[in-house]
Amino acid sequence: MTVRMFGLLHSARAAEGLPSCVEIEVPEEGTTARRIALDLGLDLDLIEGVFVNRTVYDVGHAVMPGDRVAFVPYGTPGPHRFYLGLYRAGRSKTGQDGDLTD
Amino acid sequence: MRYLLRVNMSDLTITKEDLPAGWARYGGRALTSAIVFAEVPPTADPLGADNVLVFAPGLLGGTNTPNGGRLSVGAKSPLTGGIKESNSGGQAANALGRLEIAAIIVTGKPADPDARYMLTIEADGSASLSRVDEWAGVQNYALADMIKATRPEDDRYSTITNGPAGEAGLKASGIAVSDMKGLPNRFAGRGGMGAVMGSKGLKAIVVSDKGVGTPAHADKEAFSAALKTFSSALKEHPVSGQGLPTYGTNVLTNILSEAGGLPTRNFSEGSFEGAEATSGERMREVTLERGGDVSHGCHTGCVIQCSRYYVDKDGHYKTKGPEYETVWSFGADCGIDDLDDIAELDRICGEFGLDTIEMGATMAVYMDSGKIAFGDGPAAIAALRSIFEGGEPGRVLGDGAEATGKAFGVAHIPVVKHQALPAYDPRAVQGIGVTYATSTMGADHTAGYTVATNILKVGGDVDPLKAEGQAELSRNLQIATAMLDALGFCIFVAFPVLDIPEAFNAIFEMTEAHTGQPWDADALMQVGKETLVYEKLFNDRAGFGPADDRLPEFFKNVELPPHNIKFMVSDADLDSVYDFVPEVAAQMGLE
Repeated sequence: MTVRMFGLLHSARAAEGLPSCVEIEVPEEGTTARRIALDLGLDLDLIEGVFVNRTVYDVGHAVMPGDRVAFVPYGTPGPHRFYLGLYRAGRSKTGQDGDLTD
Repeated sequence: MRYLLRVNMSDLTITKEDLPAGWARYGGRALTSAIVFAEVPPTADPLGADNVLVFAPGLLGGTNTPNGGRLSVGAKSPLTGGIKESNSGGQAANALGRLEIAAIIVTGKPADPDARYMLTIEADGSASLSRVDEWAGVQNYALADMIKATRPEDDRYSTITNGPAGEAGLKASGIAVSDMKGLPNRFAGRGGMGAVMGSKGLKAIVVSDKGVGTPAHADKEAFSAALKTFSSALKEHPVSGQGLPTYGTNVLTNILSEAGGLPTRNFSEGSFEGAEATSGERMREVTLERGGDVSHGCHTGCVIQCSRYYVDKDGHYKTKGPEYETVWSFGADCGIDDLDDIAELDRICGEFGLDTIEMGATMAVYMDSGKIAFGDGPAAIAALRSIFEGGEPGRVLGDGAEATGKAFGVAHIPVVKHQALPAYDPRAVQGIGVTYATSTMGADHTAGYTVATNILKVGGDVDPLKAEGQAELSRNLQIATAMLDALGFCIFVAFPVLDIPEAFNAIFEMTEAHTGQPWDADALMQVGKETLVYEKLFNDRAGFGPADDRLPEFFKNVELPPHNIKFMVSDADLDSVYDFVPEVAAQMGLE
């Protein structure tokens, strides 16, 4: 699947000479956005929410093969942080995954 | 002591007036809307002598309040037919605030329609009108140079200028405000304010504040303490301290496209395949590669520094930003994925004095007619230039999306109260749809921007794809935004205010320390409510009704890919947004 990284995550990757859009393999039973972020070496403290199939969730959300994933850092301006659910996602980060374990 | 500067363009007189006691708590949008409500007959011709044009810094304007230097421009709008407040960055508000001018009120119109005038306000507070007929038709950047030639070399001044679009009375015309380097690249863009300025024969306003200090505070020590808290919050918050300074507002392009809420090809899709190529991330890379400036403030006191200068392939200044809304309007909405084409379209709008949101939406509507193809940047540039340089489609584009759609038989015209929708599709972002539908301004993305959870106990829990809770969220956001506009704040201060309680407290602490009057959270929100009351009552009296608080039918009937969703908020919910108005109007002694 394709994983995108926006904003400051893009910059962090670029600083290390890494692309902000990568193809990864996901096990058949699925994984979580947090696991993907950790595998990519992303700083979880920078991530406010994650798009999975174009809807925002917190990083504990389950990801299945074929899903579309994009990580969004803190720093999104506008009311969209609320309207899109990024604010909610950032606040609901519990450190625990949802349906799957790391 | 703040005062009003009244400029009568019928008899060319200028008078200074005391600020009425009832307006002492008002600045910025609160003051422009109160003045328009009080002085303009709601059914007046927007381009007639009975309309007024008001320029007002915020209540904290001229102080060194961080990000407190916005300028409100108010009048009855020739585009919407209702009240309008168009808000701009740039230096003028700071200069007016230092001179303690609460508002410039421009009234009447000259007998000679070919006359052009420049209003000059000197640092000693003296003001004069001079005849500048030879400047008729001059574009904004050349006009800035002409004004510079009239000023002493060591002057410190700012400009408010009107391009040829405003002089021609075009409904999509805006008013340019100079930035910290004197470039006329900040705009009170929306609602045809340039046409109102043009109708009054006013080509330019120059405000000198050389040697003028900031206005005195009632309690300097308390003000400084609150300012320090507020400034620290802006710098430490990830939105105002990192996201915006790094990428500017265009950081939103990738995010909105991923959310399926980036209107693409005249609102027919919600995701743009060219999002990455036109994103803030890419724009930063291009600007740095070419030696451009990727972070600076647009006015004195800005600590967020989200402005930037886009440069061409040879490293020469092209335009500011472009901001997210401009990148969207001429980018995704027109199917154009070339940043240089988008920057050229932005520069043309800057030269002519046209609102980039309205013009991008207009171009997309024109493309939807089939006259030129979506994605054809050079054809869009030629079409935009045709407004003043001849050829097809010509001047009709300058009257905006609705006029263009009607002229070319386009079915989907994305406007509310005749004003084009900005850069968020209300089907994928239902809450912004409520604001677009109900705002007193017409479709306006800034009307419901800001503060939520910890202050208003809403927000953060609504589902963007569902109707529930959207009306209440929009109502509270509209009230909070009106409050920030009244104080003169850049709306980007909202983010630290939301997340850092001390930042919100610092707003009323600064206001209290500056004015010497008691302020608290409720008092701030009351100003926001009163602002909206003036605006709603004016529009009601101008003939607006519930039918005007609706999105175009196609948003309710046509599904938007990729979510394949329609706008679902009910008419009853939309009609509830302004249900606080009768009670607050009664408190204000209005009907």
